[in-house]
Amino acid sequence: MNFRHDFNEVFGVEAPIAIAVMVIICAIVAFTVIRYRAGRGHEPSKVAKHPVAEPLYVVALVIIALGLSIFVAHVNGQERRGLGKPQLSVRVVGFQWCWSFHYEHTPVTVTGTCLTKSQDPTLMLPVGEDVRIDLTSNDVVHEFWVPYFRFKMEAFPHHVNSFDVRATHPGDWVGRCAVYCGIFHYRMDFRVKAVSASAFDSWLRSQRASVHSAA
Amino acid sequence: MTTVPASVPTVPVPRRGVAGWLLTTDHKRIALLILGTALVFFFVFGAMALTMRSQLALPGMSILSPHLYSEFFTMHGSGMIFLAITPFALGLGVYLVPLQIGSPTIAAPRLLLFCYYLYLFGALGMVGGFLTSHGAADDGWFAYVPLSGSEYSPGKGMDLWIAGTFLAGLGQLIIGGAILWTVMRLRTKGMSLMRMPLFTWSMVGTTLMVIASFPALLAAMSMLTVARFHPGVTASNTFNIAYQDVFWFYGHPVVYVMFFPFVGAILDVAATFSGRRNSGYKWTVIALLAFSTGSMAVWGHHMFTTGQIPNDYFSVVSIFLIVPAGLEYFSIISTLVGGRLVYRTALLFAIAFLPQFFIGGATGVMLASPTLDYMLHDTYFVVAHFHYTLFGGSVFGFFAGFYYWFPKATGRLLDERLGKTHFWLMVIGTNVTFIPMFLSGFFGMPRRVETYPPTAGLTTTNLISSIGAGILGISMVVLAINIVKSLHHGERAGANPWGAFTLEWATSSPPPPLNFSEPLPYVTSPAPLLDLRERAELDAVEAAEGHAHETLLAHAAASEEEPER
Repeated sequence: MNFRHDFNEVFGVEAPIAIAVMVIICAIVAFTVIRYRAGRGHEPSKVAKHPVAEPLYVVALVIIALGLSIFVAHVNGQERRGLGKPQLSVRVVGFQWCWSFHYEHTPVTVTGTCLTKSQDPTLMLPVGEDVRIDLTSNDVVHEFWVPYFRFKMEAFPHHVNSFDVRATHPGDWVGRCAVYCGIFHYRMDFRVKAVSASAFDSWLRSQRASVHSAA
Repeated sequence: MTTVPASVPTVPVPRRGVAGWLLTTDHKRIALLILGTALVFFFVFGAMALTMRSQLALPGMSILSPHLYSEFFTMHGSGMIFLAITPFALGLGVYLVPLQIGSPTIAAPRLLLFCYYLYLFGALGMVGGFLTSHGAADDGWFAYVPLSGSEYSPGKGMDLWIAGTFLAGLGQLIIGGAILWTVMRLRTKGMSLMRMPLFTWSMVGTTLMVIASFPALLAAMSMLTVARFHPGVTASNTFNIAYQDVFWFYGHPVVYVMFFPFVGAILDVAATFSGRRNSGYKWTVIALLAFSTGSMAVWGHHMFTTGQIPNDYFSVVSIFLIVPAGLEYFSIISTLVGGRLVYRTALLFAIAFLPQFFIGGATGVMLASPTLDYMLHDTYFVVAHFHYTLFGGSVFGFFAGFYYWFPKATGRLLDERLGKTHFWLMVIGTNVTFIPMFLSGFFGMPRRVETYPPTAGLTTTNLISSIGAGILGISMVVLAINIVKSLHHGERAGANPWGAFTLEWATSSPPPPLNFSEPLPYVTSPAPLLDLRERAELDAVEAAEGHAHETLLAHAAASEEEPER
């Protein structure tokens, strides 16, 4: 599943339509304002019904709404079909006011305090692989948002929301909490770092080792 | 006490002075109490927005502490919605509906006065939170649990907010019922439903939504009350997600409650200043009713990112709302096209509504598309979107109505020069403030953040937004000056300063206690005063030319059919 691609697909259709209609409305309004000003000394029209134009217009609106909604539901459906069986699962937990990332079936958990930029936790991902995110919260509702992925999902206590993400190339992106969750909501940031599969494996191994040596 | 039939109102003996206002049963005075109170709150909560915009002008500023900032955005949002714009909407209805349908009074005036006090004391409770040790409520206007439970928000401000919201919501619910009752039972002779002015029709749609959705607000506040006495209930996800559903079951229809009466105002303003009847009357009524119905079925589009709602259903139904919305646009624009447009301030506000509300509507379609909402939900894109609908749309519609009906309520015209200054400052301020917010959201700025780091790339857009907010602040000062000045020195209005067509203009300005001192004509269309005028012209022509009445009528009928395209 590729939220970024789907976002661009829908935005690429809806934004041009919106701009075109906006231009039409502005043009009609500008024309009307100039052409029908009282200063021209004409009499106002007495026609108040358009028995042909009105039903036709309704039909046109219904067709536009139907087309748009089918298209939108279709793209949204593609997203859901993308749920596969990824090798790697990460349990993401939001809490007041930071995040923890637990790599399931390993002892590795990454967390931080979010007090300063350097204390933001990093979610490490392998490039080119689907990764299952199991999202939940320890206290109030939070929201996991990675603007680069064009995706966000709310984290509820006592409930797990699951979705897959895939980084198509290496990178380092910012993520943040999007829903208000208390006074330090504004600094509840994290980082998402995508590295090659081999680099990811060696990182996970070193994390395991440090967990074991600590224990 | 003797019983008096509802159709024969007793002549009230108006009290004088302050008691004449605070104990009034005159719907016009109750409406002015509601509108005046709402206008004060509009200024107060607007000032809070300006303070927040000052803080966000540059990164890393701390004019307000994080805690106070949270109180400000909560009170700005909930205050504008519960205490300013919804009361504007209902207050206009309380004032105008009895006048437009030719009734001497409103149904249940004493109950209505009681509801004003429910609203007033509810409002004072909400704002009174600022006087408590923990400050006012600070969990955002939708106050999601568990955050708003007593475990995470222990202050008394939140309790006051819940009680205040409940009282104000209850008052507004009953006001809605009284307006609908008035429309159904107190219309004058000849005024069938399909001969009501469109503003009154918009109030029918509004009050239907109020009756259907405001109980859900009361239910949501009751759920919050439970969560504050027994925070253990939020250990159940069912409770938490049910709260969101119940809240948005109110929270979406209320958006249209804060929109319909102003569309109604614009439809009336458009007809008056075009000098013609509303075009497409029947389809507009159908659109208003379809819109009200649809509004009850789309609440889930606020919850796409919960992962606990059927996204496709809510997306499809929400997108279909472009059909009634498109019809309303058709009605407004086709009334203007072919009219004889007189550019008074009221009409300027109505015209600016068209492109500005469209920006709000088009971005609304985007947010109704789940794949876009996953990115844009809870960001400044959403903030920009609903300010285009509520401010660029509804508040502009409100001011169209304000400039239009101010002379009816006060007997004096507002100053046109100050009015046009106010208008242009508002147009500039609105667009300079809210266009950059779309970009801020797209660049990654969530809602309800008290600051942002200088490295986030959000500085330019936020600075421009704050400058725009300053311009809006100035425009409101111009408005305040205009109101104060015109109340004392404004030009005398007379009964019908605009040459308008509906019955509220068939009586003195301001109207007498029982609204009409002379018998009303038998109503034959939604524009009864225009009917009278046209009949008089017809009679004059007949008398001058000496033709038979029948030929003239046949001629008039033929000329009306001819231009149908």
